Amino acid sequence: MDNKQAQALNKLQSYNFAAYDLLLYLDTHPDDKPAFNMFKELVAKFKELKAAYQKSYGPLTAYDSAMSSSFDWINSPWPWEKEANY
Amino acid sequence: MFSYNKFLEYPIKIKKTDPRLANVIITQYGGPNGELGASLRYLSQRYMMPDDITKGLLTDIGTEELGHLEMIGTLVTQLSGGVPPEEWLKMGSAEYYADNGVSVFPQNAQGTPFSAASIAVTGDPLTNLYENMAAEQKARAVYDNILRLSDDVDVNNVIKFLREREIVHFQRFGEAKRKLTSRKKAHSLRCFAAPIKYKSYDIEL
Repeated sequence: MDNKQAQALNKLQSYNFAAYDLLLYLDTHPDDKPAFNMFKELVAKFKELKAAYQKSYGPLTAYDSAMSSSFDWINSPWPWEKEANY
Repeated sequence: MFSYNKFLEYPIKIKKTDPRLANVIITQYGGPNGELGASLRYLSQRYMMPDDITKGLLTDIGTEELGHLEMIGTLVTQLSGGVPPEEWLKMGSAEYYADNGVSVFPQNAQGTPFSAASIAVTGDPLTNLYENMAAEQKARAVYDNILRLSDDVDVNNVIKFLREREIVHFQRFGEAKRKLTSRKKAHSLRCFAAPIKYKSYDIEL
């Protein structure tokens, strides 16, 4: 994985992690409006980063390969492989 | 239904193979305090929980634990992948190699296969939440032990991440427990599955 892809993946994972951590917080604090607004921002940013990443490096979910010109879900390395990490 | 994201929650790239360390870390894959047990415990407890906060929390933490299971599998496979049999012998892990080769198998560090006997799903919401808080502490303690045994920086960064998640989950389960007890009488909660008439059960929590 080159530097550029590593940076894009790192950013995507950071936003995913922040959003998921906040999701657990919201489960037990569903009425916390500022937290919910932050959750909305994080998820929006994550979706944006994911769309951009997928355009360059292939689908991150199986259904997203439906947007590709051929079935490329199985083409990129798998998360447990070193090539998929940095 | 569950859907799959083709990336880890935290990146894992191990430079140095070490089958002996893989044999230690495998306990968080299929051991009594590991991620498989954690996900099964939470996802199985969901079905009878009386409140939406706890149903949501168990679903979301149980799902995250499945991601952590994959992360432990990743650590094990990267630590042991491509290591020749002689190396396994030298490192004292020939037994694992004999049974599983270089695959990832759900067992504890001592070789006992995964058992659902290590998790509890009691049908009593409060007991379940106490079980989960204890489980998160036990998992955190095992990660502490692994950190004492490993001096591989790449491995330890991942273990520290997972250890931190146990602490956050403990916190969230504690909040769910408090919310549950503040909205319902503890007695009616304990008797959620079926009313118990015996007076001796009527102790205040």
